[in-house]
Amino acid sequence: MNDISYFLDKVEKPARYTGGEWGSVIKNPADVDVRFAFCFPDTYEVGMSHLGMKILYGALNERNDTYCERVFAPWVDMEQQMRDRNMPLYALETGDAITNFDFVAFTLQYEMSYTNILNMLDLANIPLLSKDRGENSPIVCAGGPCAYNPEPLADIVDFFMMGEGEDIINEVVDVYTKWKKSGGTRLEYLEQIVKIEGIYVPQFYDVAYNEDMTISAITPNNANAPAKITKRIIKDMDSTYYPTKFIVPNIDIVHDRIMLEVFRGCTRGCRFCQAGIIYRPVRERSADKLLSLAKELIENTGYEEISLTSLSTSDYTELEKLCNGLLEITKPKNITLSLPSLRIDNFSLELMSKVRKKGLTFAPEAGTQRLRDVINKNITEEDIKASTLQAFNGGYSGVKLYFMMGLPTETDEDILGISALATLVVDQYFAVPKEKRAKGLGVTVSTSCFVPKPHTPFQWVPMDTTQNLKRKQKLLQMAIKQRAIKFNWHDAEISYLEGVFARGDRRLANVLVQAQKSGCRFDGWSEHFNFERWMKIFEECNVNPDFYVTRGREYDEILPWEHINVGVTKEFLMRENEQAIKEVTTPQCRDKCSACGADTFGGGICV
Amino acid sequence: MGQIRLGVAFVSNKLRIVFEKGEGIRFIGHLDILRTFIRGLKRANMPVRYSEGFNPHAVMTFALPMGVGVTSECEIMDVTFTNNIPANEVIDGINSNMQEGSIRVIRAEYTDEPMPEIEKAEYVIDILNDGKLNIDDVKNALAKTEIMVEKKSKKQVKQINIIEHIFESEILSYNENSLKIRIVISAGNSFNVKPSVVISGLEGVAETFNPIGIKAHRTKFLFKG
Repeated sequence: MNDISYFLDKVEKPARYTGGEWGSVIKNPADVDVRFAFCFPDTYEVGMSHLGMKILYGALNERNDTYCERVFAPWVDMEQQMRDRNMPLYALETGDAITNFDFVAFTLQYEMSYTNILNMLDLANIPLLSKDRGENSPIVCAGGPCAYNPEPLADIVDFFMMGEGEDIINEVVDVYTKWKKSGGTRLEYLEQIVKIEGIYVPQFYDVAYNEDMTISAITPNNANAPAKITKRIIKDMDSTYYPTKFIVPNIDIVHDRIMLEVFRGCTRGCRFCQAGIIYRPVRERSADKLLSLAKELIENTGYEEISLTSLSTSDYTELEKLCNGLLEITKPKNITLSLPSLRIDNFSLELMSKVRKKGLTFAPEAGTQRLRDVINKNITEEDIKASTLQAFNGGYSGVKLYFMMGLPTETDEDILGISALATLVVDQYFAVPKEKRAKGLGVTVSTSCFVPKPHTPFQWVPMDTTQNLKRKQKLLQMAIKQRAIKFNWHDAEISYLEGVFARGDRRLANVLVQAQKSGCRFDGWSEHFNFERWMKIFEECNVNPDFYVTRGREYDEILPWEHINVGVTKEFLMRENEQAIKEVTTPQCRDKCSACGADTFGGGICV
Repeated sequence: MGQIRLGVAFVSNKLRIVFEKGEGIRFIGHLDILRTFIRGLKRANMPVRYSEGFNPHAVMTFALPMGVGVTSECEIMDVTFTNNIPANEVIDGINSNMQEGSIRVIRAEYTDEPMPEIEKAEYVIDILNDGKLNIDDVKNALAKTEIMVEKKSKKQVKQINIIEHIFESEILSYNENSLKIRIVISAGNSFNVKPSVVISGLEGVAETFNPIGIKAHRTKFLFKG
């Protein structure tokens, strides 16, 4: 008896598992050729907040031949209920098991969700390894930012889509419908789609290794497979698909509001930042387009809040026009406009006085100017001083500061600089006369652990050791004396594991399979992360995780993602890494082109 | 509030809505229903009156908060509009802006009466039983004069005699591993009994009655006075 209504009262937040939200698409599965399971390997509340899913769900369901449904990772209590009842993983819209869907697609947002992918396949009764899947198994595919180093999942995923999905996802479905009618084999389908730009089929490549365990060659073994796979981008943001309907959840989710994506990419060029490289070049949506989308979305969703999303939103060239236009639309309808952290200037302060007051956020990322120059984070102490003074004058009393620990060349002086910077912010508050400033000063310092990421100037550097990161956390904790400063830090052991998979290779597949068997899931959730269990698995699989995490690489080493082309050249990344060592900054794209290579796409700011 | 003087008659802008909570939203709680309603009203472009003040909120009142896991065909809500639009337009507006299986308005009328006070509620409950059910066990349990159960509230755990709060009961159908039952029990803002508490009370005394899944559906309210 698998009517879930009878047992959902036994699990936490049962509405995660029922679907039935406004805006969810209802089709008759008998009327379509392709059943597509869009899987987000985390909870409903996290997955439903993800804009990429909204876009691709909408785009696929525009097609009459395809029914795209949503699947999320069941929380551990629900997983237990499902396993007890032999209930396979199902899609929310129809409640049908995804075991025999045409596509089972995962979005890769975070390395720590990899075990959830395997666990979801297992719950769906789909073989974990690509080679074990039969002709009737679904095609398992993946995309998203982590796909830029697809190798840890190379033995698990049948094909990857590199880059932005709006076009490529339709192309693979187009080929699929023709292939399905022709009655071809699975291999034939993969051979057909590998000709599409941006498609990576891992089984069409052989990886050879040197004696020191590094890679000696990555070679195509199929005549159809290209030597390099180049990511896809959307050139014109105004004409590409953007949903005018969102699914409106019945329960609270992480980001429960209308999201307007104002642009893709970032001009700033921070050297630690993978997003800043992989989404190049910067491409904006026009304010007019965004305002018309906003109107439609407000009408279609009934949401009471709307927000802007992009990297570094302050850099949007039409910000003033957009915000003023949005205020005109939202005010009469009792809709809240919430803005991301903007660079503080007269315009943004005036704007923020018109929207609901939230805390102020800065991400200096490093505690000293020297280290900020190393990472090319162009924010100075003067900026922070002036901005926070202005903000405290404007009635703000809460400031959040974000930093990273373990950055290349970092010393204890840089760590202590974090405390000094936070103290400086406190001083600005007290510089405002008592009768003018808001009560209840709160400065929050949050530190994450720097994980070197593929396709960044720091892709070659060793990650700091867990031991040293913990020591630095303690050092900072001791240095922060003021009561107004609250200090949060990220678990260094979770970051270590993130480091393994971020720069891992296909020899990690077995580790993931064993981890799933040992019960690893929701590793990004500290209550489920078990470091000792992971270390035991590495040992059993005869894999030394330090090889991936704390080892520095030479420029001539063949990296596991060497065959993936994001447009930015290796020469640019090397140059940037050298400039970092010399503590020399690089201007942002709008000030001066640094010839990163992204102009080959012929789009956005490069044109 | 909620009234404007029109000639000599009062015309209220407070609309009393009777609605269904469907299977699709069985597992959402009261606050989620409230939010779902507000969003549906917004989509339908209904002129909901907002409270004055720092954080304006829609002026809405529910007869009784709805529990997670229970569906209903008799929920009551008052909403106040800034102007009086025909009730049938409101019904159509809301129903065409709600997902199938979630909220459906059954009827609506303008009123200036206060929300009636609820005393009892009728439920129809589907129960799956673990093992072979002897229906006499359930009948005997219902015939008892006292079954003590724990009633939890936010503040405390109380012992109550659940039989005193069952006013009617009727076995609608049963077989070896399922049971459908109709009950009328205490409900309302002063003293509310959840159907699941009744079921667990019966479970405690009826030997072969071992529910492994229940689906409760509220069918009727009975009011004070």
